[in-house]
Amino acid sequence: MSSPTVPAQSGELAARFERDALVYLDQLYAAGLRMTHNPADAEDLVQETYAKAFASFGQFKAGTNLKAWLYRILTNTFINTYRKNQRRPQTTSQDAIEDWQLAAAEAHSPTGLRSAEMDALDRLPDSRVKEAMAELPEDFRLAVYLADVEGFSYKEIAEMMDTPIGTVMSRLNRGRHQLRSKLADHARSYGIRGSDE
Amino acid sequence: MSEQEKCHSILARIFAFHDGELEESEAAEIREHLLGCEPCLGHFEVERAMRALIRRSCQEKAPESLLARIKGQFTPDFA
Repeated sequence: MSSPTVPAQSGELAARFERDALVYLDQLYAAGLRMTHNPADAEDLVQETYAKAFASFGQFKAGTNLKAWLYRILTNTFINTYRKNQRRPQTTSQDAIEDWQLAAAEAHSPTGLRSAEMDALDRLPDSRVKEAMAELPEDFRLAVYLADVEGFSYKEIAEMMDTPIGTVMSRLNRGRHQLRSKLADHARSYGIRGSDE
Repeated sequence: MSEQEKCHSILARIFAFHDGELEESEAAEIREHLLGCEPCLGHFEVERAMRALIRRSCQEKAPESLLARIKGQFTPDFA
């Protein structure tokens, strides 16, 4: 029996890692950008994610979800490393969120859009959506990104964020209401301005 | 349950429905309601459009230099 570190095997491992894991580079970078808000930090975060993933790729069980595993490392690395160094202050206080949540629950239909406004929604520029996303409190933003953009299950997101599923559902519920309410407002103002843009 | 309470109960689960996180019996209840309730169907369509918009807006292309940096970490030197 040979040791798992002999060059031939590690070369094989590297080839397999390159083939299977690097296809997620654009997606991980996109997630990194939404997390860190700047390209340089996003690049470092993604590079670190791949370094960690490669270091433990030998233990990765074939047949488990590689993409979810990579996102778990990315999210963990972000939470444990980058979040501590962030200059950007939290945009919304917890109290403000509670108030907003109550208002939304009472209004019952925060995103009721008419069809002209639905068209405007389709035409909203990417930058508007990214801004609205950046304004979400961080834990909400992570949960919303992982669910809405990547389509991970509540269970997968709970594992990535290392929180109970109930917490994920609550973050998703509040974050999504907040984000959709902002986007609906943007769509309404685009709808009113009509074709003169 | 009044009509309004019914709609409220459906809309409260519309995210989970969209996420495919409901039991089949609950999902069937929501599908059936949506077929007969235009306002709730409208909310459902808005939610679908929101998801498409968010997904579309968050696409990025990683810089080539990043790919090179990462490959350099685990590929043996070409030298």
